[in-house]
Amino acid sequence: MAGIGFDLRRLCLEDQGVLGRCRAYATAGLVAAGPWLITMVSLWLVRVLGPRQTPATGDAFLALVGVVFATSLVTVGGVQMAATRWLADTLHVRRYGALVPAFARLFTWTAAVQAVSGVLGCRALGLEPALWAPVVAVYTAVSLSWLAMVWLSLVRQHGRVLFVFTAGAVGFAGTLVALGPTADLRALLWAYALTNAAMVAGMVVVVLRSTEPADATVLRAAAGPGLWRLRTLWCIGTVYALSTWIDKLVFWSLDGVRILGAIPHHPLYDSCFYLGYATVVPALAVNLVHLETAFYTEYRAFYAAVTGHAAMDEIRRRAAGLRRCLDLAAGSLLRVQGAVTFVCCWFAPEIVEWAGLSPFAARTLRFLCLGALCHVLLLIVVLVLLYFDRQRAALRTVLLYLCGNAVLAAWSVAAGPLTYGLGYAGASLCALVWALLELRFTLRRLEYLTFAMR
Amino acid sequence: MNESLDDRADVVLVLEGTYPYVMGGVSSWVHRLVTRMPDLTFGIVHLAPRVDHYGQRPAYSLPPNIAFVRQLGIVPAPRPTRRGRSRDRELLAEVWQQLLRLREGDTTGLAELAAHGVELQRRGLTGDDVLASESCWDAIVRCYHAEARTQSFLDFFWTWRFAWQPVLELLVFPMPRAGVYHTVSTGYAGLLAGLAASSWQRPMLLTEHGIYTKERRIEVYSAHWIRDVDDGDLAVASSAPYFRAFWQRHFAMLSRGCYDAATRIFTLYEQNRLAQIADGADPARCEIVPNGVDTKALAGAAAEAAATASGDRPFTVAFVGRVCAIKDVRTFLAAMRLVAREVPELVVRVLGPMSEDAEYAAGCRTLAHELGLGEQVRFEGPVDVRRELPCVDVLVLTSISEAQPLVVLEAGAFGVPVVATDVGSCRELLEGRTAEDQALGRGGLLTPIASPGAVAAQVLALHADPELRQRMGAALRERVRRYYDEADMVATYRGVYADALAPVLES
Repeated sequence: MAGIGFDLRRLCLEDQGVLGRCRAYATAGLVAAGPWLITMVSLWLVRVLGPRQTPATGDAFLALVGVVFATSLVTVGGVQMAATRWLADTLHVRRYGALVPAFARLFTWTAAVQAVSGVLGCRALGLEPALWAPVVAVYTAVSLSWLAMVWLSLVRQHGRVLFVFTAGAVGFAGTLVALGPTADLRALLWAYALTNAAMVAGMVVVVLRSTEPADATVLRAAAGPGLWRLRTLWCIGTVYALSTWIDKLVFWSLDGVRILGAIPHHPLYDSCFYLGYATVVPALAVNLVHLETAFYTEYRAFYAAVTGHAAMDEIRRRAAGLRRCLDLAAGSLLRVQGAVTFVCCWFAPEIVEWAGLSPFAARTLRFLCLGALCHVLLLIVVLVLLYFDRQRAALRTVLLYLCGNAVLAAWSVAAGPLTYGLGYAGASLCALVWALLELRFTLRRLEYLTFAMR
Repeated sequence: MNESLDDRADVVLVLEGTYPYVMGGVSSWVHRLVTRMPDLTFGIVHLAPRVDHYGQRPAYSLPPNIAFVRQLGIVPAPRPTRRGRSRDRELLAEVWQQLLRLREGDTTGLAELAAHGVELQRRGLTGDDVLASESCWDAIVRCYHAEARTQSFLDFFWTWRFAWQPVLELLVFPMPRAGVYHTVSTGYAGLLAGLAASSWQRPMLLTEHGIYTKERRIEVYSAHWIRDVDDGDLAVASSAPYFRAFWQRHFAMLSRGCYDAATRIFTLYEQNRLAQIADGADPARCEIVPNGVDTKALAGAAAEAAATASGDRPFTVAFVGRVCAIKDVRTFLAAMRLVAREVPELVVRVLGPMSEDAEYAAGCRTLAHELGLGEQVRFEGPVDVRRELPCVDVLVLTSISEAQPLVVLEAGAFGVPVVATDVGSCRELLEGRTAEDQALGRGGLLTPIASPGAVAAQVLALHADPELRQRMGAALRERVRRYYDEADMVATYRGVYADALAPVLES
């Protein structure tokens, strides 16, 4: 999210009243969760504008897209994490000419690997061969869009990312209307694949137009953008993405249904999860505002003191400022997201009714809302750990989350529907507590870790 | 120390940046010592910044009684570190406690420190692990607050690391067993010898040619990489050269540790002995054994050269030694420019390795060109001085620090008068030490350091008076023959080794 900080600071500083803050939070919310929310809405459009005469086709489409999203996030998550760091480092040393060559190379490799693994995945799932091509196309395009978003957010093109996603959603809606109420699954998949391909093409154009042309002198250096050096980050990204989806995978495999005999799906758990996870947008917005404004300022001041040859007393003063800032951010986060989660839990019966789910789902939704609260706090703590380059601590945390989420999801399935979601909430809480302990250690020994553990 | 290898020798020489990889006076001394005692086995532990710093090929042909050469890089490339397992924390805290005691000048815990080193090796901990430990951090912060509170912490931290990293590498180095450990400098090599001797309960000998702390002081005060004044916005103004003092104190600590661990301490001349005592060496253990040259062989070579001398040759002045800052070759070149004005046919020869400080050597070439010396100066690299000295009229030594320069003794053996800076034992060598010695006459002329004008004046004086040259050359030749014979030096060390090895041989 680098680069958004200036805009958020401007909004906060220009109008320090409630309006300025609200605008800052709204902007942060759009930047942090905009593409994701737009994607959710465009998928929801399938229910409204899609094949109304054959609802099973819509269900199959959504289930298949869910699997595709999960798989692409897991397989690209590590690359995203490593690429983010590589890009930040490259921008820091102002090697702007290296951005496009590295992007092109990574993009090509990712497309090739995802295309091949997509085919293998279709085969493993046992999908009928007629669906392979559109599924692989969706999978590859979605994977590439994750990658393009990394580049665009680091070169401060958040607005254009939102524009591309909105245009994609509108295009998909138009296609759904054109296909009519009798569209089959293959047509829906091709429509979605083409829409995503167009979005990726749009993002590529934005990347090429918003970065400097390739510098011939750095082409060789860009050949291997140092991703091996960033292998721990790659592991963190992959494990985190897997841990986010592992409970769904457990539910799909142990308690799910197979649509068209192949696509794993758990209607109750999946629907509640998407709803529950949608409740954490405020936390993402608050976090972005705090991380990119006050925290980032204090963070820079601390490292400026370190590298600026300051005396230890000055470095300790800056570190104390950093800790104070994180305390304030944690307070804001808990107040805002705690309130939203509380409201969602309170109105869970109404929400499930509005979503067309059975009243029984309210209990699961409550667990999943609480789990999502812990999950998003965990994500933020992991990001803060990575700010301090505590990669091993972050890796330990996400590994714990992966194992906990898998084991407790399995327990949850075994214990029966009354505990659906409780495993996710428990695993998220445990991992959050662990992450907080890691962060506490980091902040208490910040000077030591900054100097001695380089 | 862990006996991880089967290396054993009667004498293990612990050397730092010298024999067998670097040519020079000390290296030559070591080579002659080893070569003259074929009945003893020697092992060499050589310390360098990195293992491959001086390359893998020795600069000397190693005699067969050298059983092994082991290299230790004391500033290794960065390795992944660990914060220390909880079970290691107590040991790490004890290590730093001992090191801080050493820093305060208390060397009584050297044996305990050596034992901790063995334990670190056993647990597979590296020097970097010890540096990355929280105990190390606590020690850094404690010392920073005690003595450098207003200094840049970043500079303090890295200075600390650079200073202690080599010590920790010594600590975790498995030293081979020996009947006696012998080091030719204090510093890191001296400390390693001390640790090994404490660990294996063996005697340790120190022969110090130049005084380590003095040489390091010169280096520290001329080092560009030590930061004196901060200039950043957040910087703390600091005009006092704190970090130079830090390094000086660190090197003094290493010397002190070595002196206290040494069974016997040798040096080449009285002034150095007094310097050692001033640095903390026990006077009762300090002895003088002068350097020496093989006077018989050199006299033969000189006679042979005289018989084949071609007669007419331009006035030739030579510098013999490593081309590096401590030899102050720039002053030599500037002086030669002044001499060349008066003696147009002058030939200037720079004889010695140029590889030790390539940047400095390149700067000397540039300076010679800029001074207009052009073809008159020849940088000839390492040569056989026995062959070249007979073709030299005056030898010039412009060092800013010396001990007992071998090249003056060699020049004397060939009857070549010397113009030397008044450093180390140069005055003793040229003017005599005792009344009997002084009666032999002067073997050359002295100058202050960094004085091209004075050097040029003395060289011109010798050029103007061939008879004076001859007289001084003869006096120096006689002094070397009488007081600086290598056979005496070798006999003395043979006796020293015999005493040190006696308990081993008896057992």
